[in-house]
Amino acid sequence: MTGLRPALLPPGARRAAAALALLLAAAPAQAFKRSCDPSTGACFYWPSASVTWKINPSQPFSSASCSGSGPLVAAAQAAFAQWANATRAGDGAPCTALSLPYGGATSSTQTGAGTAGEHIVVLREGWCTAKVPASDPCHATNPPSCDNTHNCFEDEGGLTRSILAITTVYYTPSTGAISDADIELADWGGSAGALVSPPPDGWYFTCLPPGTTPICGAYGQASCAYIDLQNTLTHEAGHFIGLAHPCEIAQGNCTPAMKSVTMYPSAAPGETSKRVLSQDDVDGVCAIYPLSSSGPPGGGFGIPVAVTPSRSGGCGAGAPGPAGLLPLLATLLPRVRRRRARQRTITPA
Amino acid sequence: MHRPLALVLLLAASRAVAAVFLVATVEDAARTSDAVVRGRVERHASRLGEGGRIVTDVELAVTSAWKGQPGARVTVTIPGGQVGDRGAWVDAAPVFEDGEEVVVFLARRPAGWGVNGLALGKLRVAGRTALPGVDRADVREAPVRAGEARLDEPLSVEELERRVRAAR
Repeated sequence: MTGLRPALLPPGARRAAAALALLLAAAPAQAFKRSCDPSTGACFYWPSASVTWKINPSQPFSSASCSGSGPLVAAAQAAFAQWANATRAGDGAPCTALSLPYGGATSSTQTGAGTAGEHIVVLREGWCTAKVPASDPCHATNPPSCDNTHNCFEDEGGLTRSILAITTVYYTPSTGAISDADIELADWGGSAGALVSPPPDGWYFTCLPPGTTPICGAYGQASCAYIDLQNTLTHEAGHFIGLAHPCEIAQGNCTPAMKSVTMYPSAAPGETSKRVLSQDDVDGVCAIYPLSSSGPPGGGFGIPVAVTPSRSGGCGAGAPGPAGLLPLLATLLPRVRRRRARQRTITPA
Repeated sequence: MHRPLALVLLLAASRAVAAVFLVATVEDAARTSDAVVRGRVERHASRLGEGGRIVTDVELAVTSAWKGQPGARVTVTIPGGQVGDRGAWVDAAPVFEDGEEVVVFLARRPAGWGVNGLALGKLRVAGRTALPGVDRADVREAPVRAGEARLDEPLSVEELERRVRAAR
């Protein structure tokens, strides 16, 4: 922000920049961000305050601690409940109207187009290139389509094995209204072997209490922690409801303090701290889905929401912090420039 | 463009990538890629792919190939995009802009090219620096082999090219 030098701006823009500077001075150092359409800038939201989700608990190769539907469902329910029960510090009740009821188990492994009837969490069983023969026609489509047909995690190229989970959101570009969202976890495929990075047969998710040690060293090892399922799902559920991560390395605005934010999941195997929302996460869900509002769902509800169409991604609006105000300034400055241009046109030389 | 305004727009632009990755190195990416190119994004267009999924084809004009021989033009297909009044956002997908200078780690498919590691495998060239396609916010820490460079941290383009060409 030090690059915004009012002395270089025209008078109107100087006033806008001065007002913005005052706002920035009072703004929190960090702020949640919303996921937005890269072209229209419309930020994502569920148009209904109640969004039912399901889980396919059929995973024959889960770690012992996640084995059976009980632990899987419990971890997922706890993850979604964090967002639905988001409560500001000192308050006795949630600050959001969002409800995320568990809709029960599903046998579906289908994500993406045509699945809007169910918003699911599915645990893929290992990597597609390892699980599905190379001759299978699902590899020949562009992009590959083995995930839905063989319930595996697409890992073309090998580097994709660095991904723990993917959330896909379908939405209306002009409004940001979400019509479907699904979460895929790159779970274990059942092979034996050492847990190296990247893992050769999917990620080894565990469902154990915080503080569990040691860290697992091999697939199938019991009574040890590796990638905590609830920790990962709480983060992905944040994307499910329309939140993005809180900072950008390219902008140099990631700070160590942000590591406590659920949407900033830098963590080693065994970490569980992201199971619980930070204040910033709570602010995010309660801004998108406040308890009451006279505005449209997802419209910001009193928070300045500026839309800056950009192919490069998220609009950053959602909180009265610096990231949310930059697009606002970006929209103000051209107006000032246009007004000055008109003034030049009508003023005799 | 007015300098401060350009700065504001640059700062306002943020990428939508937000999946959870394990940290990888430049060398990991180079070793597991079928080709690595530096180039410029010419255009992009979304379409319905297999099973009705929305995907986006991104056409690159290759200025130099650091690994493999993919040709002067490469079309990579990435998940997500917009078709009509429907949009699909995939949190691990890379984001390309027309006119953008990029370095891309490519995975060969029977029917075309993909980006190896999705957002991990795309870097934006800004001046002499290659900026990662994912944020540290999305990357879980892991040990990095001695002498190798993290893929989620900015590198000079020259250093990136040297590491890609030297990776075995």
